[in-house]
Amino acid sequence: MSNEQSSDSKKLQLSFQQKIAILTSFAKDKVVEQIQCVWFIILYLIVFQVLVLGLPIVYSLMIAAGIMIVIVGLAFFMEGLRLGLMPLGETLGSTLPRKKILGIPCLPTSLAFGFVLGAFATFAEPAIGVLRAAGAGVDPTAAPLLWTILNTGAGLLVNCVGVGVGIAVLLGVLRFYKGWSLKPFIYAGVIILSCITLYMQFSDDRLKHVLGLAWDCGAVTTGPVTVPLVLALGIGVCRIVSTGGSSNTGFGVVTLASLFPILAVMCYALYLFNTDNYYYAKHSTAEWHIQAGEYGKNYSTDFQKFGELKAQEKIDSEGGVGESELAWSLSLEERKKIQEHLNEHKSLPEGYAIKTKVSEGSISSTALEGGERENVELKGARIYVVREGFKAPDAIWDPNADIARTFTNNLDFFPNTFRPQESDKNGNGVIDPGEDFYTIEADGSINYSKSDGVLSGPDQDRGALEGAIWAIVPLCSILLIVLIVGLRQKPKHMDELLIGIACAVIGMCLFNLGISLGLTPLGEQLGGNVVSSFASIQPWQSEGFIDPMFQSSTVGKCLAILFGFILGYGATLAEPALNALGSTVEKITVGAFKKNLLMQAVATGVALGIGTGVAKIAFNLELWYLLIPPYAMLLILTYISSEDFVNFGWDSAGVTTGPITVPLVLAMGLGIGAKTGAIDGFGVLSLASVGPIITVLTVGLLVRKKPKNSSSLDNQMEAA
Amino acid sequence: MSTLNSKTNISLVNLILPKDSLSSVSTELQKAGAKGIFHIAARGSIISEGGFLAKMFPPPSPEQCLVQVLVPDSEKQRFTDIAIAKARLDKMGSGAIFSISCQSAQFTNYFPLTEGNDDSSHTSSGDALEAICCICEKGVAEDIAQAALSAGAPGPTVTFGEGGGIRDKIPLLRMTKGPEKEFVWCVVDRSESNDVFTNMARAGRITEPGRGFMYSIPVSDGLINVSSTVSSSSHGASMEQVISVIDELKGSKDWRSSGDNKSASLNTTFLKDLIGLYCVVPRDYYSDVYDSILEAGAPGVSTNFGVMGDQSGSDGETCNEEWALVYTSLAPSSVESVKDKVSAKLQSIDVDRYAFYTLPIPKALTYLGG
Repeated sequence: MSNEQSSDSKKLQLSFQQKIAILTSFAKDKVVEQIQCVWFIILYLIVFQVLVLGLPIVYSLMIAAGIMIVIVGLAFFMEGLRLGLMPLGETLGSTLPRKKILGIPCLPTSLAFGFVLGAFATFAEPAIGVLRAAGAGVDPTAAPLLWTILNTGAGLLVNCVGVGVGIAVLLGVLRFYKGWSLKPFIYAGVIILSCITLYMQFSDDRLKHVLGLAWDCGAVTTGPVTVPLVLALGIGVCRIVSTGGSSNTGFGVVTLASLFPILAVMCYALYLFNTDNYYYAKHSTAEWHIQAGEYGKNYSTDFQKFGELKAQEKIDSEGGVGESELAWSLSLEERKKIQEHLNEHKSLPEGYAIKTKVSEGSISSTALEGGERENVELKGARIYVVREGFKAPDAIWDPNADIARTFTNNLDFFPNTFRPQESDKNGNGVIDPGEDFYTIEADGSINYSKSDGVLSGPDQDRGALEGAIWAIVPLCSILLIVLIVGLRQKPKHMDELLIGIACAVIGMCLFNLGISLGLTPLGEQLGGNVVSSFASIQPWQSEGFIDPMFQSSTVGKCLAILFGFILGYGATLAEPALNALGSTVEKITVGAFKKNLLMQAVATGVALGIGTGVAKIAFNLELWYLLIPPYAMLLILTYISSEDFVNFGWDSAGVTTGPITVPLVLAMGLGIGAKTGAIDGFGVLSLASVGPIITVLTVGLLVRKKPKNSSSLDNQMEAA
Repeated sequence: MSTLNSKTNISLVNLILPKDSLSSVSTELQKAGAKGIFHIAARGSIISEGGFLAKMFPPPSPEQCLVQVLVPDSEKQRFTDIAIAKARLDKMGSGAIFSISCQSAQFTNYFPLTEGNDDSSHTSSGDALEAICCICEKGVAEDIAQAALSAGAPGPTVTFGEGGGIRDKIPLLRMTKGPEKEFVWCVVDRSESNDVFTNMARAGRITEPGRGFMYSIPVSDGLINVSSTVSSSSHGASMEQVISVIDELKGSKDWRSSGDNKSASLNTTFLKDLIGLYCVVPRDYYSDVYDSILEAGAPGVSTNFGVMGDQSGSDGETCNEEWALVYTSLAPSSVESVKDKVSAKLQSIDVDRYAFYTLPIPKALTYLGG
């Protein structure tokens, strides 16, 4: 290489146009990369809705815009991970074991740091909002303990999960230092969890209902920011502390971070149960409720009343109409509309028709003069006004979608989703101070003066911007402070790091916005509409009813399961956390394990899991039937698999259920659950995280063929 | 201030080992007195069979490790024998060992270096082999390795590292091009080296701008038994075994070269007779070396990271010490000046453990502008 060539100036000066050219081609590459991840799921959803279900896509323009934003957001976010979050985590991880903070030895500081990081990550990315959505329809009388945990105990639930994740990260880091294998942790974890699951399943009905929540908690706690950070940290630590033979490469923390929250939630449930500190239902006529008597005696009376209100609400709403009556009935608003139209035009408004229903079988006839023929009147025939066919709104943009609010949620950094709906009972449209919670006086009137805010807690209803800032900035600040102040190590490229973090925030923000504009409406309408394969429904945001696609509901349910299967596959491939995991695996093994191998295996696994989950809800199966056998199988697979595949496989379980999969899957689960009478929509997510472990381990066993170096082959050759 | 001790008659012994035999060989060498055993994680390459399943679930390549030890020539044979015996390198698919004679080597006093006689004569047993190294963008290595395989190179080995040149001179926009690079190493018979070199260069499009850099180094001796296929149970012997039997029967490897001369020469000029300057420093200081090499006027620089297999940290806790191998290729005339600048920089920040060594590079290839 000629030396003369290089003797130019130290820093190249680029013209503005050159800079733009560089940036454009760079941005194009990144966006194309994300389109490759996302196109499958988008195309699939659209094709399914339009061709299979034969329904138009409502709000198509808004959804299209949302999807564009998602793609750009993902490109930014992945770049932020590459430039900012992962180098930060890795630098910190590789410095922690070598330098002392304030003279304290490395191990305790690393452990303490791990705990803080884990706990903090949970508060930063509380997926608990997702769980509350899944449990929105829980009937307090049918599952009082579950209802208590999700509503009045939600704040404590988040704390429990946070502590669980904290302990998990702590143990994970300790494991790296000591060079322990992940397998014993898995054996112990699975066996303990299985035992508690079986105990809860069979000891009491109230405990049984919490199982779905507990297992789902494990699946959702690890978000797209936490996973890459924790992975990078682990890799940094392992670069330093893992010695020659041990195959500890920095994975496994996510596994523990998925197992411990399950345990934490189970313990919390058992604690509440044993201290009788939960809602006691008296509206239920079920045997055990009547027997219950003393249960729930430590539960605050205010909460008790809140629960009773909820229970009453539930009972009222259930007093509604069944499927067949639904088509023949009109809501209050519709009745008003028709009345007005009748008054004005003396005719039915457009879209409504008169139908008759025959209830009795006899006819009466009046003879016509001079003939054999008679006028025949049907006895008991009644005339109804019904909606005609079905009519989707032709708007391409949801008139109610408020981008400003989605974006910043009015910069309300601490919105309180845990306040009961009645909190605005004085009807002034705003939540006044003191309306957070209330007491109910003996005479039944509600007293709003009580403002203890007990029902508040972290949530996911922040706007896109706040959500992004919350998830990234505090965590990164902690990491940077520990790195620069505590360890006195300056990162190599501070400017790149900061730009990376900024990219991550921008990306996350756009991503959240795009999801609420694009993926959620798309997922919700499809999730709701897919039920039409086996039940007659009112399509999402549309008027009128469509009849089930198949006469046999089993066939329809099978179609729904197939839909869930492919949905799981496509959505998983688009998940950012899985992408990050795949790249990390590739990096750590110097490219020996291709990212594609892991992603395809995981996506297939999630597809299987979600298919099973849909089956669980559609056929109302018990969760433990579906959880215990796979985990038992996993124990065997783990035992015979090599350590590195065990690490990748179990870690991939934690990353699968992210911001793309969850809204899509949940909408479908709830839609189906509502038609089949399932108590809650839980369980799909936990099944979606068992699936990939099984497939990754299986694929690992299948593809891993040792290169030939055994002496037996050599002997063969000598013999030959 | 530490001084640099110059030594001649130093050889760089390279081992390519599968991950599972790594630690045993490393400890064995350490027992025999080797110091500064540098481990770089690597992956092997296997012939991809294509097909839908292989694309969906690409089979993992064997995980390997590239081990480098600087040893005096007098000790070279002894260590080579130990490594061969311990890793059973004479068996198929068990790994490779090859050594390269350094032109010169300089060490600080604290650099872990194997003791040995200085005055033994250069016992190079002829340059029968050639090592080819190709530095390319991340993601391209797989193609290059496949091209090398199809040209007959046994087991191209890929490592990860960082590299740069022009990139580091762009202020902020440098982040649009990551520093991550892949390095493809393979050791081939001298008779085959041209073919392999050309094929790799073509697959990696090395002569196009911003694609990478590749060079070859003469290897004094070596034993290459890296496997390049995954075993499938339907065959009794692997392809390597079959080929080596034919080699033995024919008495040479000439039969391997195909009749028609497919390796139409690349339409470019090679850079001839460069010197590869390698600097081994603890990883914490690698960026100083990296920057000062660029400042000294070198056109490009690349870095491999690894751990010293025989170092243990303080406090009795097992702790890896990470080192970096910073590499640049230079015209012979500028080697000394760059070396001086780098060592001045290192001494100014009180680094007392580092080493330089230079290797001859008869042939190199990259984009030359125009």
